[in-house]
Amino acid sequence: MEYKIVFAGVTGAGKTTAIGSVSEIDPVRTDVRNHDASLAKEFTTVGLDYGEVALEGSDRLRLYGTPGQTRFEFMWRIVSQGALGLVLLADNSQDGALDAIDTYIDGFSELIDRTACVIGVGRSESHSEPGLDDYADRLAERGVICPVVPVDVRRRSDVLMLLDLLLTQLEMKTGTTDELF
Amino acid sequence: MNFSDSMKNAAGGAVDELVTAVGSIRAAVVSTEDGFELVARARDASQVARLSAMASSMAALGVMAGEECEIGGFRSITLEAEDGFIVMLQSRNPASNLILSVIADSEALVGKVILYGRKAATQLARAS
Repeated sequence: MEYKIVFAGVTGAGKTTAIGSVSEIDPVRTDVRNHDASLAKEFTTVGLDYGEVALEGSDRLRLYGTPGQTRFEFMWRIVSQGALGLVLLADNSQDGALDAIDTYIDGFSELIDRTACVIGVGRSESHSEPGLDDYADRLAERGVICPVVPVDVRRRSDVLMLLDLLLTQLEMKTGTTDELF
Repeated sequence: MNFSDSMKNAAGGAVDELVTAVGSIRAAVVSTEDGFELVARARDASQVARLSAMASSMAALGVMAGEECEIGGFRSITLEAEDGFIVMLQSRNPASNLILSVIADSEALVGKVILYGRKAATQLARAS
């Protein structure tokens, strides 16, 4: 069995890094040089990232990262097709981190409604606001109930925790997945 | 995104030559590799921003497909649709990798679009 998981979130939140942290194959990356002066990064994803994680037996997770910029919203819809769930990454060091979540809740609404979602908040150790409860409240206002946890996407264990939470959410929602890790 | 006026003018000239030589072109857009428009000639200007972003994604996927299949670097993509086709060509300008996207009606000759597209891409690579 293969399970398709989508990583989304604001540019710079660490989607490419997260997939690279856990992938057991060399990740497929579509990073190019960034020309947007408003983004403090040299490279940015414009197509998709791809990685794989083996599960029990012959099962595996296929991980797809999406571009963060809204001008690539068409890729969000393409990559969401057939996906099992969404890992949404936030970056607390960026202004408007909480409001940015709305963009992705809207952009991935069909996937969230159909499957499950988990929110990983990055750089919360250095930037404590907004708090996890603020994210949970904002999500609840939007009718989305899902785990919100702090993460350092450079750590494999943190990203695996996100995936485990996501699959647990999915099992609660559909009762279809067993213990996979 | 900072490109000189002379570069934009040179890019515009290359695109104009292409559009004039081929005909039946709906849009010709030069974009940066991360999906920002440099110059565009389009019947429907509202298409340009999305086309630039899509060209960026498709070219990036083309690069990866070429590498995965061990057939070398990306040069172009030709997409045939019911009512026309799209040709996307890579242009390696020292200031930035650029993508030339040409949307043509089905009346246009795809070989002619590719021929003049390559010529324009070569001009774009030299633009400064």
